[in-house]
Amino acid sequence: MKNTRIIVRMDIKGPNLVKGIHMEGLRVLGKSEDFAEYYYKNGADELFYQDVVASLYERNSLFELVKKTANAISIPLTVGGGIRNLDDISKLLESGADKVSLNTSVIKDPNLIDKAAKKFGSSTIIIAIETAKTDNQRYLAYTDNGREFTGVDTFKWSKEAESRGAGEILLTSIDKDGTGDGFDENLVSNISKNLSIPLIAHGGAGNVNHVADIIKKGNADAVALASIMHYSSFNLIKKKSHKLKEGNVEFLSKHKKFKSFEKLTMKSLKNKLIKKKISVRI
Amino acid sequence: MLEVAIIDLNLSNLHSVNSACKKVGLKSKITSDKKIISKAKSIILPGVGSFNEAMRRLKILKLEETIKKSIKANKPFLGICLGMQLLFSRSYEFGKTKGMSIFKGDVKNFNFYKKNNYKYPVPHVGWNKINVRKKKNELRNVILKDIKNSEFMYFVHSFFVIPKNKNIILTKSNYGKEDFCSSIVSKNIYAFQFHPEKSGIEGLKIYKNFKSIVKKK
Repeated sequence: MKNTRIIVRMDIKGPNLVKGIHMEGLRVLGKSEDFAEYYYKNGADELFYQDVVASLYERNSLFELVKKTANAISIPLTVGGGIRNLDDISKLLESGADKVSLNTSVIKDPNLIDKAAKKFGSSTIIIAIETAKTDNQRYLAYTDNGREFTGVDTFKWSKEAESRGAGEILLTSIDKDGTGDGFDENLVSNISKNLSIPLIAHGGAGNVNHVADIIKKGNADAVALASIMHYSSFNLIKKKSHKLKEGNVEFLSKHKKFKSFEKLTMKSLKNKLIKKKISVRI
Repeated sequence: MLEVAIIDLNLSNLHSVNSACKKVGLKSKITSDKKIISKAKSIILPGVGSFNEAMRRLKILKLEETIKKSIKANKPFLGICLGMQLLFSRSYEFGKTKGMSIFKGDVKNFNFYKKNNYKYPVPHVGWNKINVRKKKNELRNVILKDIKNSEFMYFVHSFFVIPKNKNIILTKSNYGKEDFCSSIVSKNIYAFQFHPEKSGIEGLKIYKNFKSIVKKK
C-alpha cells in the first residue's frame, strides 16, 4: 500500500511562521513552534521548515528553533534555506533535522548533491526546485526563495538531481504559491512520471479537491501544504501569538478572512481524502 | 550505569534516536567506543545508508564482535532500519556484501520503479501499516505492547530482509507487489525496518516497551 504523505510546509522568518503569495509579501502568522506542535498532534505526516531569510545573521535562531521543534515532535522534520555546504548540513542534522532541503547551493554547484548524498545518505537529501512558467510555456528554475532566475530547465534539472543522488524532489510552483487556485497539475505530472524517486508537490492547494487531484491525476507521491493549513489553524493558535511584534504583523491583528481557502484541519482533510479513496495515514 | 549504547557508525543522524530514548526516560549515549558499548545494559544499532559501508565501519571499529558478545550475554538489542538488515547473512546492495550473519537470510531491494502508472517510487518513503503475524500475537504484548495491529509507522528504505527462518518475523508490511518483513523478534533481539523514533506517539511506545525490557534485566 502506498499512503500519500501530507506534509506541512512552514516558511520561517526568525522565530515566526510567515506566508506570502507567489513567495512574496510575507505575513507573520505566529510562533513557528506553536504551529509545529499543533500540526504534529493533529496528524501531519511530516513537517518542512523553510528559512525564507536564511541570512547568516538569523542563523543561530534557526538552529535553536530546530532543536526545540525536534524535541517536541517525533515525526520527520526537514529543514531548508541557506544551506551552503556539508558543514551546514551537519549542523542542521545535529540540531535535530531528519532531512535537509537544498536549492540555491546545488544549482550553483550540482556536485554538492553527490557529496551530500554520499556523506549523509540519499534519504536525507531533498532537492527543492522552485519553478515558474515562461511566456513560451517552458518551466525554468529559480533560487533564493523565488527571487533569482537561473535559466535552468526544471525537467532536466529534476532528472539530474535524481541521478546525482537526491532522495526526493520538492517541486514548488511559484505561479501557484499562496494563491489557493489549485496545483499546476501539468507541471507536477510531467516531472513525477519521469522520476523514480518520490516527488512532493507544493504550491496552490485551496481545497480538498485540489489535493485529491494532484495525487490522483498529478501523480504526486506527497503534497506539501502551507496557506490552506495555516489559515485554517490560525485562529486556534493565534491566542498564543498575540504578543508578537516583529515583522509584518498587521495581518495578524486584522482578523482577515481567507476566501480562496477551504477551512480544513489535518484530520478533516485526511478523512475527506479517504472518502475519495486516497490512502493516507490516520 | 548506561542503559543504552546507541552505536555510531558515523553514517547517519542519530539525534532522533537519542531524543526518543530521552523522551521515554532511557539513559542513552551515542558512541562508537567498544568499552562503553560492552558495559551498557543494552544496544541500539540504528542506521540509514549503505550496507557495505556500514559493515566496513563495524569492522574498522571492531564492533561486530562486541555486538555479538552483548547479544550472547542476553542483553536487549534493538536494530533500526539498516541496523536490522546488518543482522542478516548478505545484502545485494552494490553486488554482494556479507553481513553479521546473526540470522540467515538475504537483504534485497524493491525491484520495481515508478513508471507510467505504477505509482510506487523507490525508496519507499512514508507511513505504512505493520501487520502482526498471527503466530506472534503473544509477543505483541512485549515490544508492541499498547500498539494496535495495523498501526502506521514511518519507513525510509529501498532494501528489506528475507529471513530464512520465517518464525522470527513479527510484522509484515505491503509496498507495491512486495509483502515484506517489517520487523523481527528472536529472544533478546528486536529489529524494525521502520523508524519508531520518527513514527509519532505510536512509535515512541516501542521505545517505552524497550525500556521496560531493559529495566527488567
